[in-house]
Amino acid sequence: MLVSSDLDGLLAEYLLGTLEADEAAEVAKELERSSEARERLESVRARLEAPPPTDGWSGFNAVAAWLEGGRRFEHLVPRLAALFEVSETAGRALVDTLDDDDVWEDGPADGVEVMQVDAGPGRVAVVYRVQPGSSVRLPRGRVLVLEGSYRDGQNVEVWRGQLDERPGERGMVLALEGPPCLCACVLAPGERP
Amino acid sequence: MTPEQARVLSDALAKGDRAALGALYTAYASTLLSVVLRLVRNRAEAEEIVQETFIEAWRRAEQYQPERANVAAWLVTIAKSRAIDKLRGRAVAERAVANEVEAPAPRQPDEVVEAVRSRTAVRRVLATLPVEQRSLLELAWDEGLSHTEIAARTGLPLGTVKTRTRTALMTLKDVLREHA
Repeated sequence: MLVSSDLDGLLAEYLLGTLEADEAAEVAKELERSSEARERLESVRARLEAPPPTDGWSGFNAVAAWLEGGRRFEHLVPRLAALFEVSETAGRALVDTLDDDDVWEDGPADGVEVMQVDAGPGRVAVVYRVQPGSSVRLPRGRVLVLEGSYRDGQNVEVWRGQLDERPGERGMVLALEGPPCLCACVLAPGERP
Repeated sequence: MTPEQARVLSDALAKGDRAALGALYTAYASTLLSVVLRLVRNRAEAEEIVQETFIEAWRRAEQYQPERANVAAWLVTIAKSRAIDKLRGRAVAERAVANEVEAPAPRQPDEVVEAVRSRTAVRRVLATLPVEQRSLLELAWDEGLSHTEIAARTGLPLGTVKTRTRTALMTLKDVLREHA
């Protein structure tokens, strides 16, 4: 017999298919036996199938606070540090500044800003912040997308966390709907931001 | 939420849209809480695990494959994995208590000595930083200058002052952690 307080969690997992086989069999038996369990199943199903909420931040304060500032880029810091050939500490310091409007300068097009970066010796590196719907020609070199996404002239999409090895060879890029696209770029020799 | 609606949200999450994570939280947090509570039997711990689950989802969004599992099932899998980790951690802690492995409370004179040692250690590590980073920290700590005032004093752009200060502080933190 299932404990009542367990039921919602079990039923949700039953519907989502994440239970072990023996647990799923036990729930199935309970559903056959109990009309109350069947009613609860429908209520859990309705909750899972409800349309996406519009008040997306309700009860979300702790996680929303975590997302503010550089911590939301933490998992990308090793890749960024490798790209720029700097220490992870320096990479972390860099992402901590990305929300700071003072570090951005006007870029080469409307809706595009640029931030100069102290990269490894002999490297020229910048970060672009491209507003959704704005376009820019990225320099030749390599690009790591830190946030947002873009589509290039050949309809290739590059999303957060992806490394583009051939930017600047496929025409202008268009920042897609969503947050501003943050592109960390290491420029090929001879390229200018 | 239909599969198409879930797909739109998971795509937005993968691109780094914070509002998408908020929408997923509002849609599924209570379900995850029921699932986790069944495992850990402690509401405060369960709520913490649910929050950690969404942070983990943020980090791992680029790995999520919608064709393999719907987004709710993916979140449940992350939450259960974290709950199991928590249970393992709890078991270890309980064994430690059972074995009476407890650190003695520090006495007050020790704390004073430790504070002095820490200050000395910070100064020692500070001396090893590149001069362009060390000088900014010294202006901030010894003269109490703000970032803006340091930028005016040194002629550096404000953004550079902020970046170098953060880099210096993080280096200090890392080195001190290694010393500890």
